[in-house]
Amino acid sequence: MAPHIWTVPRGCDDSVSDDADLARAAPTEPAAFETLYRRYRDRVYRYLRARTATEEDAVDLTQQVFLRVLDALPHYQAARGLFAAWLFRIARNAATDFQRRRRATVAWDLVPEALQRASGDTVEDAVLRREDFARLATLFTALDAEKREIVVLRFVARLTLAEIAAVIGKSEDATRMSLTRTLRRLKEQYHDTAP
Amino acid sequence: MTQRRDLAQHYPDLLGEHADPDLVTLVDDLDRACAGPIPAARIDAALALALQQRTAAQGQVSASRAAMGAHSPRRRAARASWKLVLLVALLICGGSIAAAAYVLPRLGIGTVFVGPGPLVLRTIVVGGSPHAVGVDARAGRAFVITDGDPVPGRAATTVVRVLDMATGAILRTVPVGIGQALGSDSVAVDERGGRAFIITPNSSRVSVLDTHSGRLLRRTQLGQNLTAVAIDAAGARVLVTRDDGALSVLDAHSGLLLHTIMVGAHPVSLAVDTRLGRAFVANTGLRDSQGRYKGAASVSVLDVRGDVVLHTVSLPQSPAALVVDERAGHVFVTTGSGVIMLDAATGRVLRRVAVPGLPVAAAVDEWTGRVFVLSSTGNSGDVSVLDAGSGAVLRRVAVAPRASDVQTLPNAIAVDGERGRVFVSYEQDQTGPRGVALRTNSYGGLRVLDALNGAVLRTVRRPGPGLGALAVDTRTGHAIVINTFGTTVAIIDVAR
Repeated sequence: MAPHIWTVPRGCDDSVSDDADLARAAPTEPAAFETLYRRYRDRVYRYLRARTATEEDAVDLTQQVFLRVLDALPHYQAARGLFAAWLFRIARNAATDFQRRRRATVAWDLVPEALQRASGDTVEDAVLRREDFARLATLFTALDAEKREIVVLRFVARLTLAEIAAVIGKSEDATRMSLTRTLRRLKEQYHDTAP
Repeated sequence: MTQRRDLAQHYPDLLGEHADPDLVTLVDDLDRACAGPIPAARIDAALALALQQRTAAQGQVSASRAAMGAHSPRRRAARASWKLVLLVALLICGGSIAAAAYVLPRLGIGTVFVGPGPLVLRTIVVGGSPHAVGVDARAGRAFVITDGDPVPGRAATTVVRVLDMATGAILRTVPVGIGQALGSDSVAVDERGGRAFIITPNSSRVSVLDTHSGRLLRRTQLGQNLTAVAIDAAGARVLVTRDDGALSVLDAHSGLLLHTIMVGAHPVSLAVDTRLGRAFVANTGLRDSQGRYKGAASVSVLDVRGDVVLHTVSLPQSPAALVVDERAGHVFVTTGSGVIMLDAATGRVLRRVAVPGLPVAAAVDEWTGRVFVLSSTGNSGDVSVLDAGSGAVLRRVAVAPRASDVQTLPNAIAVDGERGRVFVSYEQDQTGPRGVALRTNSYGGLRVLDALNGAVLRTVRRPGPGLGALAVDTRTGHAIVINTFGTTVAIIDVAR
């Protein structure tokens, strides 16, 4: 099986982040906005992909989010919070509004197409992988909405705990505890239900 | 395995104290399940096209305003610059989005809906992401649920902004929950008692406000996942449902909890027939772990004074909205397959009415004996006008003027019984290939209908954010409506 390349983009390491400086400059400096866009585009897309049913919707929402970011940048104040948290709050609102408009009966959906990946898998490996993903998807969907949100923001959007806490409106300690408990529970259930 | 063991070593902070092989496997699997190839080029192209079309649209708006004789410095600057913007926007297709990002702020394009105009009396910045609104016409107050102002180091909050409808001033801000405002917040107003009752998924309590001062009187603990609230004005009671099927009855003056009874599975809306002393609760029924409907959708019919469930009416599909026409003695429930009319006294199903598309909201005008059902129909929306006595469909009216390259999303409907008018809010977007909304030329609109025959009296449409939740001040005839994707509400006088 082809190894999965896990990259950690900037933004997860706050010590070198210049997001606040770029956000301050972006309303009048196109290069600054483009840097922010390039930096966060993939993470925003991945987060929205986990919140929508199709790639089409995720692309459309991603574009909408950055349009809103562009509009709202003049009002962004670094003193009021981390840029990533501010950005993902916009993305979260966009996803919520989208689902509300579509009157979705299922609030979350993982990507069926993402199960069909990793060229280099044998047919047997692919079937086993698909079954594993299906199990994981079932367990994941059974979580309540807030726990799902925390997991997706952490491992899909790659936000720090402080950023997640700011997005969902809880303390960092409470967020850390919730994530720890959720991962522990998922781990137990994932291996308990393994064939 | 080597790769996964490396992950645990390289990203211990990502996995915290649980950096063990099994958990790394789980997280890696989750990451794979949520990821996939990122269509970066498509996203870039979509954004570039959106910016180009938006700048072109803004140029057209500026040009038309110029033709109407607008002379403000802001509009002169817009007229002068839009040609430059368009030139720059043409570069976007082959290059980065930076150029468009540079020029848009110079046009003053922002999230605030710019008024006032001949119909918009005032635009009020309430901040956050407003979702719900209620009005006490007697007190001249509006209650808007939105996100509280962020404070570093503190959790986000959901708040109610108490507005003076005459001046637009924000009189008071009352926290009602922890966390950002969500779409399922609700406000119910008891004008006779001067009380507003607010529920939000971010709180397990009902917040009770004095509608004149906006002062918080009480927070009554009812439990998590409150779903709907309604007033029994005659009985001076407030009914609140909870997702686990509980219905709580509160005293409408004090907000104190009187008692709780169980209704159906997952109640989402309720209404009260004060003449009969009946309450009706629409229950969406059971769901599987994937959230799919499993059955047992119903309407619970209660004797609101005796606090007893009298009947349970099975529904073929999950309900959404529920309204009561007390004069006709009928209850109307919207489902995915149409509208079901019930006898309010017995709960008996009298008629099933087919309406186009998916019903999303309903309103009733007892003076004209009409029920208005708002439906989303593919790329557009309709209002079906029903006779409240027979349930017959009298008329169907488009929510907004139709066009082949425009997607209309109907949002909300409200009745001004004093003036016999119906307000319908919507948002529109230009669509690209395959009918996908481009979010470029966006419009917000309000359609005003005659409450007797459904005739279109007026259509308000302007570029910018869509118009969402709304409420009517029946004393003045003004509508207060939320600008979607924005931080403001607008007070509109359609009589002008």
